[in-house]
Amino acid sequence: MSLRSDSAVAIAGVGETAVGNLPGTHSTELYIEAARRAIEDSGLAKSEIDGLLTTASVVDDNVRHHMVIAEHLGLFCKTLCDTLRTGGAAFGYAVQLAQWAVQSGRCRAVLVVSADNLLSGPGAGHGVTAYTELGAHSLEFEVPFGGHIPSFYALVAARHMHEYGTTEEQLAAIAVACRKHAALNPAAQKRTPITIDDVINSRRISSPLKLLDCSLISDGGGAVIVTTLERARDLKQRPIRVLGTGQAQSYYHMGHLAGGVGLPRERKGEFNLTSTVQKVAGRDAFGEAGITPADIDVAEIYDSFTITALMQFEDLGFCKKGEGGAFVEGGRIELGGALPTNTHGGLLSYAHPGMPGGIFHLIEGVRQLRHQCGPRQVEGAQTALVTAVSAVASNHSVCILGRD
Amino acid sequence: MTSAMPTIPPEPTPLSRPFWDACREHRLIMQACQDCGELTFYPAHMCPTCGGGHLKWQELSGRGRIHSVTTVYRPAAPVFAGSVPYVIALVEVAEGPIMMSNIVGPGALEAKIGDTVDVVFEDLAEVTLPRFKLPGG
Ligand SMILES: [Zn+2]
Repeated sequence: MSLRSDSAVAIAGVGETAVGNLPGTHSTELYIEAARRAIEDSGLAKSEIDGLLTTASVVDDNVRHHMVIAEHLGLFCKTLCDTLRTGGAAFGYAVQLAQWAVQSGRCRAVLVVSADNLLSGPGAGHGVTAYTELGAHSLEFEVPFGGHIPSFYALVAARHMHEYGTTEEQLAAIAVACRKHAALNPAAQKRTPITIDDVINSRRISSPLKLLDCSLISDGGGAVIVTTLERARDLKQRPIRVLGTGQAQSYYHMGHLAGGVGLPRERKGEFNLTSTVQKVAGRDAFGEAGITPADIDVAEIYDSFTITALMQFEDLGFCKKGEGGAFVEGGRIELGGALPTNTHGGLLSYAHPGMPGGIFHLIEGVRQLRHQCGPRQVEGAQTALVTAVSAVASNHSVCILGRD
Repeated sequence: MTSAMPTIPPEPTPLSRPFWDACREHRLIMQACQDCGELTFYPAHMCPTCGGGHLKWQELSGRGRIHSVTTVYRPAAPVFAGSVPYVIALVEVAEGPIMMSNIVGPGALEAKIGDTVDVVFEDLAEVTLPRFKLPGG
């Protein structure tokens, strides 16, 4: 089916819960609160919502999670409704699915919502272990060797440093930038400014990654509503256009990722540990939007670890492969720099409740383009790039947004 | 000689059982595609390279090279708490595939990308794990 070119799509509403440590909350409660706030923000009648995409919950999962949330919200009949199993990258896929559903006329308005209480929920304090037991990594061929997600990103970082001479100080610059921005955001979980030395001297987790190279563990949730630009223009907020989206996914097992297993021989080497399919997602999103990285005013780059963000600057074309380290130095990605990044504080300093992590990047991208960000506002921002990644540099999504 | 690092034991499937049974016998095996010659790991139902369906278990040399490596200080689960710091690596075996494992033995904490390593089988109660050591380690 071809998409109608006149059916432009917009984000009409955003909303989030408080983030951080929210003891006594249930993930469903956070889901509903985030959804209610996004609906209220948009001014849309709940009865107009005919699409619902959730991303489940690590601590209170259900194989029909989307139906549980639909029942709590009182959304009886949906023409698009599912639980996305793509972890932190899911929100980007959700926006793309919503975009297609709205463009094709199959849905009028799609609610994308995600929440969890990784910090205070059942199993609190065992976030990494719980995530491991969920099967986040291969239980047969990786977990027996004591691997966890920080160690897997550490393998990526070590390889990037080996191939390109990237330094721990360069990785640290990303954490410093995120914290600097979080200090300007009263909602952020961690707001005390940090230095490069603070990152370097923080507790070792899995070399070369230290504690401050790693994202937070949090409670919280967020939601966005995608509808037609035409409908959004009649609602409460200035619409923020979805200019382009892209997604690409590679592999789960790290050995398969590193070896590019299954690629035709002539394409071996195109993708590996340090060169991801985010290149494909970015190509598609920029292609659809008809703009280039040089046109982006503000970037909200998924930052589960400092290395996660660093490689995306390369794979998205903001700099050449291997130059990500130099790119993030010298304040380029800080407010006032050429590409202010993670203006809300990112997963490194705002919050990371697991599955919902990326939705806060999206919400911040929308608010930046609405010019609602107060002291952390990127002056006159017209375009934003928002990304999400999951399953160790293998599931990628890109959304490019524009002010209407 | 310190005791081997423990594990969260794998649960072999009918497909992977030959691999783990061979480890128990201190042999490292992978499937070789009889159509294109590529080796594949982890165990597969068809060759992910050419799509061929004729895979045959083959014993490997046990030699490999470190593709990437990290020293873990924060254990992945309580069972590993007594083993930190421990070393996880992606090892490219001489025959091609890249597998995750541990680097153990003398010098393991200094292991670096590009180092050659040899398989060493560590017998635990539930399973024998193929881990790797530096030459002379
Ligand atoms: Zn083959």
